[in-house]
Amino acid sequence: MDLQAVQGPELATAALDQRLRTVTIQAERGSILDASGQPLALTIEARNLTTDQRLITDAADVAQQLAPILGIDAYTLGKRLKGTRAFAYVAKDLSVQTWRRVEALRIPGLFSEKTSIRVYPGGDLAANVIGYVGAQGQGLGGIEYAFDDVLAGRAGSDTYEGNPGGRLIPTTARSLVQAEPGSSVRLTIDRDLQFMAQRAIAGQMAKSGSDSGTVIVVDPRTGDILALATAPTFDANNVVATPAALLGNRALSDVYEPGSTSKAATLAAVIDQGAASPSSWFRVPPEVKRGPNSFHDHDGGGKVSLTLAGVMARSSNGGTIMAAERIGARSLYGYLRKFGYGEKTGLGFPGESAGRLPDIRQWNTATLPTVAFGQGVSVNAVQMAMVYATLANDGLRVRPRLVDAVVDPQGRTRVLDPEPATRVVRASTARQIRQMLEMVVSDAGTAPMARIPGYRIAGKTGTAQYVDPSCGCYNGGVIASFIGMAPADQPGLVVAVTLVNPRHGRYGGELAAPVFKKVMRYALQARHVAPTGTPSPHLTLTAAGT
Amino acid sequence: MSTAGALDAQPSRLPGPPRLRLVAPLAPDRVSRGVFAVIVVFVLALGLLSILLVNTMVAQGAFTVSALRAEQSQLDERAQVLHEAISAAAAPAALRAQARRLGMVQGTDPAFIRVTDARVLGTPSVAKGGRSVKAAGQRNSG
Repeated sequence: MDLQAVQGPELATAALDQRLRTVTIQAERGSILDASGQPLALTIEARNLTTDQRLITDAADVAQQLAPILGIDAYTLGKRLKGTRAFAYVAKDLSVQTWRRVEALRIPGLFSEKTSIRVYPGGDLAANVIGYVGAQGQGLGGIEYAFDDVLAGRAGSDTYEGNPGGRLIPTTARSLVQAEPGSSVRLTIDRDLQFMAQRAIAGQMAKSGSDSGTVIVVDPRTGDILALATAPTFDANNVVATPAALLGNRALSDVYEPGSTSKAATLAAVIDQGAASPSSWFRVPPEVKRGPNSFHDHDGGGKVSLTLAGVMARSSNGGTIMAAERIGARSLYGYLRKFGYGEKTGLGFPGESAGRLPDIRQWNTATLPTVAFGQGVSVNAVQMAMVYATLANDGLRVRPRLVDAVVDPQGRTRVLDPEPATRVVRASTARQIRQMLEMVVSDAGTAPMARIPGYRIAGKTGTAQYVDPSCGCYNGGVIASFIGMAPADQPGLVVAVTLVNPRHGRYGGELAAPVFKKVMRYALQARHVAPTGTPSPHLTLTAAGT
Repeated sequence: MSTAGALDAQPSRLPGPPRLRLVAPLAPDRVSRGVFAVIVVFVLALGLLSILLVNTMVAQGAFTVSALRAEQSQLDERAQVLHEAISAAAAPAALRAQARRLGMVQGTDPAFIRVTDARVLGTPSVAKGGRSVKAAGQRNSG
């Protein structure tokens, strides 16, 4: 009577609480795919091995049996198995196959707990683009972080009355909220090209003794980034062992003074303003003095006569300064802004730096000459690659794209629209600059090593003074770079290479140009870009006619 | 009085209402009660049995669902493992290693043949580093 009537409702509630179970249903995280849909990151099921230590009779013996399967030494395992705790972890994130082998041993007191792990089939392939996830599977870097809300999905829950074994009691109430799996993110990255680019830059970094290096491959017509390689990189399957400094993406986070590669933007501004043509002559002295500053140019006494094309091919600082002075500081500043200097690329990548283009109100007498040949401004490697993509795309600036589409669990694809293109220079200006850049890879230019037989190659070397981040000063180190495109008359690809602080070798033409050649050669083949078959123009460079 | 007597006598002569008499209950009624009881018990038993059966089937269904769920998750696991194995084998580094083992080498300067006029675009060249091809050939011929 007392049980039924007085305590009845209370006991019933208590009993229900005892039977009621809520299980969280983890949402499957979406994959990260390359441009062709191949997975670069995917989530698979895994198991945590748990134990009820009270049920383990001989911890040492169990440890001996588990050690070879788990790859953990028996001593460590023994310590995890011995004790009086009802619940303890023995090993985490085991593959399902490994758990099956443990299960087959039929050792009482060992249990498994479902979990999931993020797997990167390519290891270090595009690791600095993809990023990484934390212990709870949340995105912490790269695309994993930037697109975490898209990838994560929404966890569900299952609330039901279960028997002590956890099984559903039939005909009782149940509330099931299914998990919503995350969507997949499809990148513009071509994984084969990415692989080749990573190999090439890692090899050259080691050979030249550089601190780091980057390679960027862009389709100039769409802005699609086909490869974004950095060296050194890391194994995405082993983030825990990776120093934090290696986890970001240098091509976007690190800024440098571009140096001579920036001359293409300066001279494009000069031509676009009608202040000079590729055949205009400049009498360049060995040293150009501007106020208290003097800009050293070439060795040998006396003035040298160079055409504007010659200024580019020889990478003359003095000639570039003299040309830039014809349009003035305000005009140069305006063009550089339009090219994207000092402005984030719009990729939305975590940790991206905008670089620095000093505000026009802060320019002094030394600023124009310095900025004209690419010092006193800083850019990230992708920004600089996009300057050349704009010249390759007939002066029309498209924004770079790294994420092409989001694919929902039902397979519906939502392509992320590119931002509208903006005109930076006239198409005719861009064409003239490209012809001038073709002379750079001629025997008379600074980068004959970038030539690919059969193709018209246009590009520019850079050997810029390197600002040592530890002192914020120039300490003799350089950044060697080469940015180029092919075919020069109808560019289908732009490849940008930088090497930071090389110890063996110094010049962009000797260090970065061979990497450009290696990557471009593969990219042309892989993406079926045929030579145009047209002859390169021959522009006069110097008074001697070379 | 005579009239009264006559009156008294008359009714006896007149056809009166049929005399009611007690009739013995029909024998079959007594039999049907027993049958009814049996039927009731039978129906009751049948009902109980079917409830039991239905319950058992529901419980069995729960077990089957549970077992099938387990099987499904095992198959899912297997599919995932196989997917992962394919992705790992198809990763560029693995493909490159396999290709090298088969004696393949990387192309050098690309060249194309334009089908419309059979013109060769680019400068064709022989890919270098084909040492392993020869080794494989020797093994085959030997």
